[in-house]
Amino acid sequence: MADHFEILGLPRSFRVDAKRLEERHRELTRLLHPDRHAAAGAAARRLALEKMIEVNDAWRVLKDPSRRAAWLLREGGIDLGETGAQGASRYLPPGFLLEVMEHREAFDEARAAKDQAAVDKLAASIRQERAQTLEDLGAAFDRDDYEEAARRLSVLRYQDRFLGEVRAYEDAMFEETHG
Amino acid sequence: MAESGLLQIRDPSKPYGKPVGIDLGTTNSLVAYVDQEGRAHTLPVDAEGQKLLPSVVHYTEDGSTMVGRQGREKLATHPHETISSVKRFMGKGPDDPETRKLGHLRFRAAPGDAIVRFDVGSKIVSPVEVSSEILKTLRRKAEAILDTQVGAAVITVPAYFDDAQRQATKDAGRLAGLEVLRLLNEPTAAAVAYGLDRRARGTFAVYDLGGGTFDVSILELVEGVFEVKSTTGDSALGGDDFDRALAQVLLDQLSDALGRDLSLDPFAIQAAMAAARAAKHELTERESAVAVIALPERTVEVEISRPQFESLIASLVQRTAVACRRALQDAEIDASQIDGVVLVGGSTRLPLVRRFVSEIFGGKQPLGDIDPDQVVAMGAAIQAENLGGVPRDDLLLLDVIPLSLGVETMGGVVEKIIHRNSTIPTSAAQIFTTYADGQTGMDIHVLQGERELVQDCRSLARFQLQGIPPMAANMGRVQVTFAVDADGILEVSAKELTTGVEQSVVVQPSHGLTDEEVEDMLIASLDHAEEDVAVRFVVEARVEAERVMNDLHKAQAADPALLEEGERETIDEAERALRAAMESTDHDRINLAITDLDQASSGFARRRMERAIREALSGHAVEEFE
Repeated sequence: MADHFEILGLPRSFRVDAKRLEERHRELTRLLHPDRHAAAGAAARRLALEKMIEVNDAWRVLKDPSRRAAWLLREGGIDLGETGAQGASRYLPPGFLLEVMEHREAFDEARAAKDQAAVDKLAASIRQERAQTLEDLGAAFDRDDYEEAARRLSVLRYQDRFLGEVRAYEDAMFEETHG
Repeated sequence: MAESGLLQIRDPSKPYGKPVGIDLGTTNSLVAYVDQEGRAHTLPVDAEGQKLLPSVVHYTEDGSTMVGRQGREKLATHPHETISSVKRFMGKGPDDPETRKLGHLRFRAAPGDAIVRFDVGSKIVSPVEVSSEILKTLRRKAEAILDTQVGAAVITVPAYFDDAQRQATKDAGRLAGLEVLRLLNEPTAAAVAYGLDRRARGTFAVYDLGGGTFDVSILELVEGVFEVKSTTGDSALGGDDFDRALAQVLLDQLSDALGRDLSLDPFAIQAAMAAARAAKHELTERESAVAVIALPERTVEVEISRPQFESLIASLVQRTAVACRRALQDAEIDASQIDGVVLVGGSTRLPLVRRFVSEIFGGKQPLGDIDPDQVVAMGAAIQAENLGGVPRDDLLLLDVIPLSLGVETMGGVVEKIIHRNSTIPTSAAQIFTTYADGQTGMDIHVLQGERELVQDCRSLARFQLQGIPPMAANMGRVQVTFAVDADGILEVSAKELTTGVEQSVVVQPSHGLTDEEVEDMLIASLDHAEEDVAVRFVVEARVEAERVMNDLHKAQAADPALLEEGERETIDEAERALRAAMESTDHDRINLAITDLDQASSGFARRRMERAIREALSGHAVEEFE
């Protein structure tokens, strides 16, 4: 299993310097991109392509906090998969599911009533909670507390899924008026 | 076999002649090149100096073709034998709704056929063949004007084209005898033409309303790196639809005037479309226009005002807002963060479209000072020169895959394996387990699209994994790797994990031609076919051999220290064998010798690559200390 941090030459940590991550990716891309090897022989092109894919894969995982956390967790011995809420449910903190259900009910009501203000308010509060979750995740990883990080990642995935549903609803509303 | 002229005129350092950029458009196509000062120019395609070649192919009774304006003139009199807007059918199946739209063509697909085919009287042709006629024409024009051989091109495609549409475009290039250096997304090409000119930096939106496709891309430009953040669109919406909307109105009025229903009359449809196109162009500059519909029996004139026209197309233009909004969301920015908007496509000249685009992107006045019809071909030429001519260090394009790729799982659900807007090249691996004792094969269905159910996504291909060693159920585990290359095209490979054996993958494209079919078409299209193809294979093998040896010599001269004990001798021996093979006209032998040389030098190549990566990374570490 390739070490995404090593590939991009970054210290292994949940707290990633986004600007540095972008610079590293750009730098390696200048070196490895297929366009840079267009005139080379097939074997040289294949080699660069292989490395480029590795770099893009590492970048894709590290720039997304949820995938990044999942990768670090697996290194710490807890495999929740790269994405998805499946394996995550057994790590949910107590009481969280009740909270999820409440949010869902509120969202369903707002959606049924096409109450955009209520949807906005709900989404804003989830975004705020999500920011807190990222903080908590960072703190858990700092302490090498993988159990706690798994719980926080599970929460993060629920929050991301919820925000995804809000977006799908807003898209549908927009399409209705612009179809 | 004697050495033919083809073998002698090739310069090994420029094996494919002058590279060109080609915008293979729905309505018009263009070819461009880069001059010695590094400036891109589109080339005239006829005696009057027109740059736009109408993407129309007419098939005469003896099966020969008339392409461009000559072909377009035949539309009115020979609607069945004349194909326009063929791009809309690239990579499409015969059951596609596109084939049922207002049109004049005769479709003729054999039962179970994977692609659309047209009956043009003298023969049955596929969209790939029709497109290749357009490409051949552009190639010949470029060769005549530049007075040199043109054998390699960057061909542009709508960013929103799926895998099947891209593959079809690449096949058309091959069939036209072109080495396709890259399939380049049209909005990215336009950004290159603008960005390089201005040494721009910042976040840009490209709004590309072509003849038959709509794309919108968000790009970030930093020091010559064009990084596409998101791209989306509608591969069945374009300026053609504006023409159709107006033509429909004209047809209705025509039917009224002549007292009979003309809505299915191919001649009337063509006349109405031509009148609509002319009126649309006039309405770009003026407040009203007179559409002149010329039929053999009578000519009818209909006056159209700009507001009238705008109300006809308003809902179509509105539809583009959905894609613009999604592109912004996927790029995780809002309209106010856009530094500039680039307009592409003739339809963006319409005042309504300009107002609309400005509104969507936070009131920014769109950039339009490079001709929106020519900007894509110019960007493609710049990239073609970069890849097949003189490489430039200040230009790098990072594009994305426009639509997610997935596989069919239980219950007809699609499991996504590569998500849309992932930077390409990229890959993802998935493990499949055998479900029956002694199972030696496995079927995998690959789809493209964002929806959850198989029926709502585009079927790309079915893959059969064969030769899995017989084992108890659940013991056979096959790792399938889905790789998307820099053209946005999928490649699949598979490996059985217990034994480590590479599996053969048999591809059955859902809406495309197999490699054999393209090969057969290529042979059929050449005179003295088999001989010519054999010569071409030898030329290609020798070109590749020269490349490999050139690379190797440069590498050995630069890094002799990275060669291990005895390695140079092994490499030299493989190189001598390759030189001997190149004396023959047996391309298989040459290719085998290339593989041997690659093998002999692979360790050295890998050490060089890894050192370069370490240097790139440590270069940054040094900067950080300063």
